[in-house]
Amino acid sequence: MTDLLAARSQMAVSLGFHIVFAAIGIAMPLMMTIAEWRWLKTGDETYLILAKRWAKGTAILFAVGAVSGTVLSFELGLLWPSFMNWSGPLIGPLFALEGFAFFTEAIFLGLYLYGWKQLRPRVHLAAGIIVALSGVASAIFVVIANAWMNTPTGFELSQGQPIHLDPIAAMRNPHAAGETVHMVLAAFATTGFAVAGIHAYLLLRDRTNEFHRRALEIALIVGGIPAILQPLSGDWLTKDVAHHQPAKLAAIEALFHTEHGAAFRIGGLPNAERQDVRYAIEIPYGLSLLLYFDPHARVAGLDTVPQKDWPPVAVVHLAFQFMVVVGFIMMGLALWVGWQWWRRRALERETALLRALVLASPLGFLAIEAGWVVTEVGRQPWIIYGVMRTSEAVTPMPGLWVPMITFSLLYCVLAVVVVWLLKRHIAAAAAPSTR
Amino acid sequence: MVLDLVPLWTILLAMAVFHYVVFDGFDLGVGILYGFVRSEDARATVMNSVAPIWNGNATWLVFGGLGLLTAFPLAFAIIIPAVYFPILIMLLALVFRGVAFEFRFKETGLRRFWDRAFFGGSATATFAQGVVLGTFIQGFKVDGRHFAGTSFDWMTPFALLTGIALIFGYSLLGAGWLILKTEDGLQRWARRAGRACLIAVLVAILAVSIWTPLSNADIAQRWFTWPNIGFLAPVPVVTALIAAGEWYALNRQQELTPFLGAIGLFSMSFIGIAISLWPMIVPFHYTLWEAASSESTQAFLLIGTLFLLPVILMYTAWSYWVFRGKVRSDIGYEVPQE
Repeated sequence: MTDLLAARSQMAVSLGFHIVFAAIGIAMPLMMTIAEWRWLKTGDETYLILAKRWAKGTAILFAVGAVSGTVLSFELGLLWPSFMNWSGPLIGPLFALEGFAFFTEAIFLGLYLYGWKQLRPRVHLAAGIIVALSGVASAIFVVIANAWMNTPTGFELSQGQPIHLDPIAAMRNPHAAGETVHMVLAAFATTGFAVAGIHAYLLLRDRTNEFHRRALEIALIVGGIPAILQPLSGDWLTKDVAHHQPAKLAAIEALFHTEHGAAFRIGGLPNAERQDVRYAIEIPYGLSLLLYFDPHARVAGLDTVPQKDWPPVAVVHLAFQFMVVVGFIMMGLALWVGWQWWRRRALERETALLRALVLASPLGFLAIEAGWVVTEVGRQPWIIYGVMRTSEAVTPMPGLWVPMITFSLLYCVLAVVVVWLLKRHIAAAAAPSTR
Repeated sequence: MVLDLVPLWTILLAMAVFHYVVFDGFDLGVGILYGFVRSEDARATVMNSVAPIWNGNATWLVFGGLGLLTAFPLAFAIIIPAVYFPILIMLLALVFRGVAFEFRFKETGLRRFWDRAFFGGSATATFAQGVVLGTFIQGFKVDGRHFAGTSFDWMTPFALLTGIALIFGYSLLGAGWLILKTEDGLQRWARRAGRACLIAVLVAILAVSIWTPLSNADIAQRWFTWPNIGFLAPVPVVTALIAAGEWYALNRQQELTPFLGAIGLFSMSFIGIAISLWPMIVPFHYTLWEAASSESTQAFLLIGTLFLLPVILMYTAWSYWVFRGKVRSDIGYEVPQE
């Protein structure tokens, strides 16, 4: 294994692990806060128990997210020193803002989790709201930094070095808005559906359980609305990509040759050597229509960039396809829930819907991972698109496979422990019934 | 040059590092002492004394790292490769220790494992930080704008000494915190632990104070030539006075003084190191000015920092106020049992 591959693998494992807990850390606080707010509003103790149970789950998951995030902040400097050195003055302020948001989240989560007795109810609720807001804020700052790697702005190049640095312009890079909206919606949809699936499962076993019915309602509101909006945001982001990163878009669509009136491909196995795609369903003019509202519009293929600048096509194409399918499944489920709600049906009696929710429970996380693969692998071979190659950024340190293996093992162990703890936590939650 | 921001950034970064050392220092120290507490009830109290606030404390580490990266990128680029392994080990240790807070409360079957993880993680992370400090004081091999040494340059007797010294230093801070937050038997135990740590800390301070000037003629000259010796004499004198006061406080009834005394000893050590190394940020190759980032970046960051830092400090203070007073083993956020 080359050191570059080891460094990339370590980064991929670390980010792939962290993103799950980050997504939960963004959305869970909103859910526990809604539950607490309902308790204050209605005086119904069920909501208080719900808020405390969700808070406890949040605590477990937040701890893992916090430590893996701290590790990441150092890995950036340890593994990619040239990248950090080059881009530090431009995106450093974003990381500083993220640090500020994380400070806020950590301190107020401490107050929220341990301050039930010390804080007055309204102050306690306010602490929860601050946790929820700062979680979203840190996601926004980090994703803007990632967007900058895709569409770098705020500098001029002079012999490979950046001059006339403008951190504000770096923040306002072309992908910033599209990527942050897409990620934040993904976090809410994913976490909402994951939690909804758990409570749907428990509701299937105990249909009259008020606790799980209320939990399901809140989770579906938090997850459902973003799930319906997500395909729109995906469409927006893809148009951004087509405009600013033609090579990534070509890889996403496995479009080897530039075409006028390009077809939209569903499925298929791209082969970069033969430069073709097999077993795909093609919708004529689909891609040109989707991107430019014009069936004959020109879509740049991979042949517009030298082959040494191609991202791995098959991985990006398949990950994108998977993400889109999951996105539509989640949107469909959300619409189904909305339809039943509009007909005033009681959710707990809709067996088919509850079962579908249980099955869909982990889907969002898989879609997040797939989406992350699309944006990160799709940017290769660049670490800063069009400016710095990943191979130029890696540390000259030898033996990088050692930390890679160590951290991979560590994350495997942590993942097992977390799943086991959550299972126990949920099993304990199956008990309360307030009929 | 409109305005030289380097001194301001130096002060800010020094404050961030010092804040981290004191605050995460005491909760890491509490984690180390935890390994020596036997009764289940006392362990819960010890952990509860830092559970609500540790995460905010730990975040200063990220803040310090980011500050170094953005304000002094050259220093970051040289220092990080030199202390690559200690930092990796520290991160691994911090992972175990950090999740132990939440995992231990929930888990009974693996409780012993998480107990050890909490103690071992705290001690290992502290040791690694001490090693980084020792490596820093000794200076780095530099070629041009790159680190020129090996990944194992940190393995020196001096760095191992500072590693061990920091374990006792953080434990002293932790003992001070426990004296403040606990009562009766546990408090008496913390006083005993604090006395043992104080002796070890003083031995370590003395050893470092002798070793550093002996190994570096410039540092020796700075401290021991006239008139510097006159100006700098108060440093060891005040340190000795604080040490005596700390010993007195650990033996009497004072509850806050031992913690403040420990902070005092850390301040004096910090000042001592600063005097020895000034104005180097990459000892002994680059000064703060040579390693600084562009003025525009520093100015931009400064505006943000000067707004955000007071806010962070304000609600940090507030959270300490909310959780003031003695801690008990049965507090927390237990869900009502149905």
